[in-house]
Amino acid sequence: MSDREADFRTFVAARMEPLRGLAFLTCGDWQAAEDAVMSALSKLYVKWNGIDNHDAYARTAVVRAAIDETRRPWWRRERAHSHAMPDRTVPDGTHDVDDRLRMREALSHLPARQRAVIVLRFLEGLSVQETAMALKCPEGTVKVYTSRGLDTLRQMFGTELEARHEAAF
Amino acid sequence: MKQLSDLLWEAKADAPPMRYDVDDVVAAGRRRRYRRTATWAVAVAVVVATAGVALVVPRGPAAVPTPPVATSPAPSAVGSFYDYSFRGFSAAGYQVTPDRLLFGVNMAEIYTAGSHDLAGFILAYQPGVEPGKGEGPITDTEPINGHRAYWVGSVLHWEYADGALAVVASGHRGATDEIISRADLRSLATAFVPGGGPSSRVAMRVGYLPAKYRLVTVWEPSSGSWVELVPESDIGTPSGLQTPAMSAVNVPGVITITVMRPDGLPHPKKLTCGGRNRCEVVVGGGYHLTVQGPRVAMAEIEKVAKAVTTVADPGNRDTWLTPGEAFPTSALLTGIK
Repeated sequence: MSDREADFRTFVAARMEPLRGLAFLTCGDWQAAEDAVMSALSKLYVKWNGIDNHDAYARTAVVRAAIDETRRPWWRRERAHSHAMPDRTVPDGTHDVDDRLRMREALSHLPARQRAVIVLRFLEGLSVQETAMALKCPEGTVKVYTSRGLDTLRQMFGTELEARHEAAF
Repeated sequence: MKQLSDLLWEAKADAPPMRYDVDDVVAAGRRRRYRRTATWAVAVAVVVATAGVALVVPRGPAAVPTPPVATSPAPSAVGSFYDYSFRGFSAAGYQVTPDRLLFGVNMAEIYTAGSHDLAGFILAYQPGVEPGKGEGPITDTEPINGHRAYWVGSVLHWEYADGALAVVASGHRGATDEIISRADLRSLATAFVPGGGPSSRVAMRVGYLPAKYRLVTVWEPSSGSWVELVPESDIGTPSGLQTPAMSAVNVPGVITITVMRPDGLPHPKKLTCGGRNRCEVVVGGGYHLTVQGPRVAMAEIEKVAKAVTTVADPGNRDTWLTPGEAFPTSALLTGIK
């Protein structure tokens, strides 16, 4: 095995799981998330030598692929029967699980690109500019999506939600 | 008050077991690279779609190829199946070089003279083989070299010999801007002379193949050497083809052997066989040999790969071999032309 392939394998081993989480929060389906990660990383394999920031490339490619997954014709038809985010939360008495289900439900109310903006900014910690570059959209769009997304999440969570980057827009 | 970032972290907890692992990702990457390497396939698909040739597999009931029935044999009907049916030529500021030999059709890439800019393709069908229906209106035009000619959309069809058709098509810049003008397509068709083509050549010698495998594709792109072999039972007759295949890669039992130039990507220095029934190794000049047969037993693919030797310097095409020199006699098609 060459050094480059070894480097790629090390990268995938370290980043595949976090990227899957990023894709899941963007598209709301574990299987679609895995497909998005597979697609993005296979592209990265081909371009490995020509890319300076592998992590940024992978993150961008995964989010875009996850958004694309939500646009597939079968998405609406199949989603209800897959491992998608549940329509309604069922509190189980433990706060973490309750929060988990509530957040998934809240995210499911956002359009895919709004979800991607929220996830990139508040999970990955990207700036408005970095998020705009990742999604190939104007910074103003990122700000609008952030504002709208947070409004929706607050409606779901009441006032108990704090977004650290809120002042940035 | 809860942080949004914490809630997002929590929302992606309790993930199910991953369906893929690192090996799967690497295998997918290799497949993607393999497809990218075959950039010709994409380019061909565009032109071939324009020319109205469907990318289908030539499969017929005949177990052994037999000579096509042609009432008026064309010049291309002389010589070995592995000789190109026409020579390279220049016309209208373009250079035409035959570089792909397939079952039922020979093909040439058209380059802008003095450059490596691919501008279009010429496909010369064997006698009795019909191009696909094509897209666009059919319009008769002035005969070419005394033979009938017509346009199908923007693709020029003409009869280059009795019972033998050819098409010439331009590539596109962007969605619709054609690189070669209609006048120049016509000039290229007029300059086309059938017969007298050189033998195709390959950059490898193959010492073992599974029983009854036949060499059906020889391709000499600028990036290397590419051959395809399929089971004899999957081969029909050229005269029975309405839509000849541009590649045999979709034949279930196909074995593909390639010797491709360095691509900057990692390849093993020792013969390595693995997923998707594929073996690869770096050979002379940094080129890499790949033997692949997704639906062929891994043991057979490995056996083929171990019996392949490449020419010392694949970059030097003068050292390449004819199919007759490179493959067992049993693998060669006979009685086709």
